[in-house]
Amino acid sequence: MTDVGMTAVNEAFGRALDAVNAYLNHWLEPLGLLADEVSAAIEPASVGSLRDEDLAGLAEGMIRQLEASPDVIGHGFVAAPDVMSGLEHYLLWFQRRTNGIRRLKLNLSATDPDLYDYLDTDWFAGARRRVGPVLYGPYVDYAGADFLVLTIAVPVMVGERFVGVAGADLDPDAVESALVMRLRNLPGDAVIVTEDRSVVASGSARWMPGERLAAHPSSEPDGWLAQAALAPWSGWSLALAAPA
Amino acid sequence: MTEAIHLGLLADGEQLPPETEFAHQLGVATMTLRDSISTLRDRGLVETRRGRNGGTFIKRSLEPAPEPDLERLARISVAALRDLADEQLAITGLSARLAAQRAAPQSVRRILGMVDQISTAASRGARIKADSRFHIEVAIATRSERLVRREVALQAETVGMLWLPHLEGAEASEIVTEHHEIAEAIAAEEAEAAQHAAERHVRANLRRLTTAHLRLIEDDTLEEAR
Repeated sequence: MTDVGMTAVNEAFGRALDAVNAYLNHWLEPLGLLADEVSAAIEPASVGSLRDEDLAGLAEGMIRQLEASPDVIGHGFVAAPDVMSGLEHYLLWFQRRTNGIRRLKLNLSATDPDLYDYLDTDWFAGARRRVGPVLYGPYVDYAGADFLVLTIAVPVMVGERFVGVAGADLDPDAVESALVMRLRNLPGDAVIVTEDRSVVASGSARWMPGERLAAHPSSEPDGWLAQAALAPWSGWSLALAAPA
Repeated sequence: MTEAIHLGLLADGEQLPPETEFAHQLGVATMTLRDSISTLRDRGLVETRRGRNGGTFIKRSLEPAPEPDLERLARISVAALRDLADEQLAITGLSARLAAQRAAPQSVRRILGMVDQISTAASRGARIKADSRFHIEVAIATRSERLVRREVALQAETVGMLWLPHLEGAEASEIVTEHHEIAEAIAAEEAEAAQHAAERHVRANLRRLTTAHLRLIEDDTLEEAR
């Protein structure tokens, strides 16, 4: 390709990169607000002895927010151990189901081998380790949401202390269509992949969501017209190949 | 719901919502719901208590009694067992193949963890749990909701009949080896090998189930002759 041609490609690629980043980052605003609300509802001295009733006031806002966000399947607060009184695991989570918005009830009894143990999931452990937002999926959250979801989690801090995450499960179909729309004007076949080489969305039938690329574009950049990391917290990358 | 109880998605002792509300939630007629709950009660999966703190509660035994599974295995035909295995070849075999191509590191960790759980499980209930969770985790790794649903239904139908008290120690350790092979192939991202290992496992289970079934009806015939 000529230098002029390459400049046009790079410009279009840069615009797509910005558009996808703006879309990804826009999810952080409501989650940041949710994290602030949860944090404000928790008295620092009460961490460790919190009860469900102490957080009950948050429910109404969570339900209202969910009603206003059609692309969100569920959201809420997921507690770290030693935050709630006598409970290693605790969720204040609302979910949109066919029959309306409901509080999600999971098997959280500590003695049960089938407990929904979220402590070692990439979204919970990731948000805790990074002290920053995490994007995980799409994955089949079989024991939790019960379908394919994309989870975003941001840490909830009370002072310096990590007390859990404010999270949202996004509808992967809605995310896919939002992403594909932003890849439309690229001169070539575009694909968005996770750190694990998993395809999230593509503007071409060359790659299917959920499938894995043989190599991450960043480790083998030669086969691509352009490739770059998206918002660092997402762990995603955008890559563009010459039309097949 | 039977599946949800077996798989532990519903905790022991959890109370079901009042009949009318629950029927509304599920979008079924109250009579239909009442019938279903009565079936669950017969299978010992829920219990209804009367009185002020009454209601219907999930009763999930971590150690399910083998008798209902023995009875089912005695009554089922070999042709029906083969039919179940046919579906498993399609679902379980393909799931293993796709998992090898798609599994996220978190999924691979869980799958390998389940193999350990099967080999260290100290009771029938724990083996049933770990075995079915293994296959469901493999299906989850494919990121296909449909494959997950089919695998859950297949596990609910078969796993209890497999882990019956008469299963020999040698067979049990072979089962662990088969799961280990599937998991290793998925971790190594070897799609063909994962599919073949899963298919061999399904065929070996069909042989185990058929052998156990024939032994059961033989015992019954002997008993009747006496």
